[in-house]
Amino acid sequence: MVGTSDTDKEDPGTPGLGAAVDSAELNDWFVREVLPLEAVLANFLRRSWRNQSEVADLCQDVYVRVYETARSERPKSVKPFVFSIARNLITDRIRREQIVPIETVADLDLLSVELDQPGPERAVIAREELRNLQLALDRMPQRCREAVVLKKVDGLSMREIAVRMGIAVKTVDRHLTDGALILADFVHGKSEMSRKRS
Amino acid sequence: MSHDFRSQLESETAGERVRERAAQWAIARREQETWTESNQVELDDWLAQSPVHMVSYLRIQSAWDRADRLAAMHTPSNRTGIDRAKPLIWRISTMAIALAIVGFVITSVVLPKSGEKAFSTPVGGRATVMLADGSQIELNTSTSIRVSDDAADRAVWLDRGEAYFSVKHNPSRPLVVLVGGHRIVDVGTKFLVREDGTQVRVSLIEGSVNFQSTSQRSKSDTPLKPGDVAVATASSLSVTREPVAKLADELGWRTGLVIFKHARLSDAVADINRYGQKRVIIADPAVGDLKISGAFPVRDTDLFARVARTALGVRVEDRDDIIIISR
Repeated sequence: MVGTSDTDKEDPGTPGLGAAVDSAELNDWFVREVLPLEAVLANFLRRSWRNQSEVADLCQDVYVRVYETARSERPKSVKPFVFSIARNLITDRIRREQIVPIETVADLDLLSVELDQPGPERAVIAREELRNLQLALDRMPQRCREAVVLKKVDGLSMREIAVRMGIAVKTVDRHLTDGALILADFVHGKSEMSRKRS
Repeated sequence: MSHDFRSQLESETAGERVRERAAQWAIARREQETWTESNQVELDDWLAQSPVHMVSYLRIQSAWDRADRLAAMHTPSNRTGIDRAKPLIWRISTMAIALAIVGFVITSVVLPKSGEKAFSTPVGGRATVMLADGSQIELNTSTSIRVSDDAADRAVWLDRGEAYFSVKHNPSRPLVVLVGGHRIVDVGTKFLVREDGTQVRVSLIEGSVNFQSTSQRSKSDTPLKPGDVAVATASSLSVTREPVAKLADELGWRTGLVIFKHARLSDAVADINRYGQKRVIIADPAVGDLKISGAFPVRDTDLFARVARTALGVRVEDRDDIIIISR
């Protein structure tokens, strides 16, 4: 399988106990500054990589590199930082796989154009966010959506949802997990990133 | 390797497995009934194992928490009836809201034809008082009124808090609202009155009223039209015009919501503090100037704090009875 991820090779145990305080700040930074770039980043990855089903993994790998690199020092300008990491990652992948998809090379040149486009608002206004949440709900399979609505709109516990829907708690967990993955795509990426849904 | 993403199982990537696990953690962590200290230890371990765990978790957890806003997506206009054209899901949620409202209406009292009666709501409470002619007075959080409804006149004293008046006009018996020394005389109307100890604010939604301020007792009444907002203290009176849509947001509490559109965080906090048992405190004045938008269930102070944290990136510290927001 091509380009699974850097996942398997990551040095484990990097954040020790002593790093807890720093991590909290790093985590805040990551959520606040990096995740809102997902729509633009995913768009770039989609155009740069032939196999669309791998885009979600690529994006995840970019995040890992961004997170690790930012551990020592936060970049002043986040967007160019994230995109140079994305570009390097793609270059590495191409080298590793020893294939050079032509459109990939071409698209790498477009990177500068990409950077000039207005990015997503840092503070996404509530209305737009609600719309993204709505789009995510629309995209969910019916039972999954039902579970998410009972959870998020009605505030029921998993146990209560299980009773209400007449299914096992474990199944509720399954539905909510699927729902959360779709929500994450739409909240951060403004669209569905991974086409794979079981 | 051929890569048919429709055939599951073997095609699930390591990245996907991580994302799923991250999602399960994010969900479990917010499941207060079942979340334990040892779960937390387990989660911390898992997060420490690899940065890919951490970034996936941060990504999904922030999204999962932000989906709390779904609870707040029902604006007052959604309240009326069931719209068949809407997908099932919105109907479900509209019903949930409607049930909540029914729950509150039980506290309503139909007045006898004469005598003065007092009504009040606790912090976070809400009630509807119905007059004999069908006029309604809806009381917001921490509000006290007295009502005199006899053959001669209809008078309501707003001693404290906020109330929304929906008055059936009767030219021979106008309804008079007395608040902070000012008088509001209805001419068939819907309006909102708020008394906060230092000033009285009257917002006209529909119809018209005559506002008679203590500071201009000798002069003629000030007529108010829809959109007019009169703010009166013991010695001053100002009238401004607001878009009626904005005033509608001020009425969000009637359906259990407090609605902000680009409100300063400090103003939003002051508002949310009117309802909850928990108090929110802003520790850093710079944070108070950040802008927040959204509709929040009036008594869910925790949700408000969570949204502030995820949307504005502020630090939120939850100590039992107070929540401290800082940079």
